[in-house]
Amino acid sequence: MSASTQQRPTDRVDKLIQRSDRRRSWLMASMAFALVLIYLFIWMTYAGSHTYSRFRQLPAGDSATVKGVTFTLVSLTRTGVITDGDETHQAQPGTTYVIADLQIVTANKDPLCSVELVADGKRTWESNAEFFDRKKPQYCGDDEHPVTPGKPWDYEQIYLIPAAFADRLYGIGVEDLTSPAPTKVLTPAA
Amino acid sequence: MIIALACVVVAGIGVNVTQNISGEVIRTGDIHQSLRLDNAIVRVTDVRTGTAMAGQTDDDRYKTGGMILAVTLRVEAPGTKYTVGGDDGVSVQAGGRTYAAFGPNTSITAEAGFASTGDLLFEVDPNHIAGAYLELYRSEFIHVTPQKVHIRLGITQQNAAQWVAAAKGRTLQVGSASSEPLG
Repeated sequence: MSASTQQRPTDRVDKLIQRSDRRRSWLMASMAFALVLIYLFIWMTYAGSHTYSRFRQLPAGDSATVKGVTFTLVSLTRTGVITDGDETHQAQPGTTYVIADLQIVTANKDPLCSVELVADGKRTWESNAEFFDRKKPQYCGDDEHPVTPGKPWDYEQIYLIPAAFADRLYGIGVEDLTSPAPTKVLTPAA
Repeated sequence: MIIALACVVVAGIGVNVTQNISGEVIRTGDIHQSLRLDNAIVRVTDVRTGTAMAGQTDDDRYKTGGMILAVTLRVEAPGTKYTVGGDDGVSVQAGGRTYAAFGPNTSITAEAGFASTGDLLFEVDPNHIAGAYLELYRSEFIHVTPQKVHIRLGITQQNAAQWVAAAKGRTLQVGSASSEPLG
């Protein structure tokens, strides 16, 4: 080895340090890139799960509990006519009523019990805004008939939907706005 | 520090890229023409003018020194429930002015599988109504392609005076939106 190419021990150490620094820089850059990717993945997952409704159909007869209220769908029936005290209401042509017969057991006072009807294509309908005079109430308790925690409360929800979707229903969706999980969809026991 | 810088760079690139590839999607049509807005179909079925309006209650009465434009809009929701309008989703644009909806219906909602039809009211300056069009707009937080629909209301430079003349002394009867199932 010639004198000109000979390296002093300190030069070698300097080169090793330089190489080590470069590696460390690449490592840091890779870590930053990976962290950005993780951030984007988490954000897109969060945005995706909170932007579009998602549903998960439960086995027939299963209950779902949301905020201390356990919902059970007893039956889901369609009818062209709704009785309202002494009156009857005929569904307008091309539509049908769907009656969800439900039961809740709540751990809290004044539970919220509105549920939505779910069909394919993420279609949903809210229950009728007006109350009918029927055997079962369409609400969960009032001043005269409060819901008692721990005691079952039977009620029904009535929906007016296009008849074309009557055979394409998934069930009753029990939405938990505090959770990003898919909305649980109840179906009646077979 | 590096991570924050990287996030800013990535976000900047993202904004730049989406601006270049998307912009706004604007569809323009005319009265009686069906146009798609997101997953809904919208159509202006009628336009009326007046100087007063009367709703279903006594509180829903209003008289103007200008002109009231009543635009009947049909919204079809073949997929999921859809709402047109609201705070900033509907306006009439005319003569460089933007008019917000007022009265009983400032938005129209069609439930899934239904079509809803309702009157949207706008108080406008009768001297600047030529070329008026309805703007329907829907923007969502995640969307990179905000959609707008412009529907020309049939008011032109030539017939604007006739629309104004037809409005004088006329009270527009306005009901709540009606709905029907889609066939």
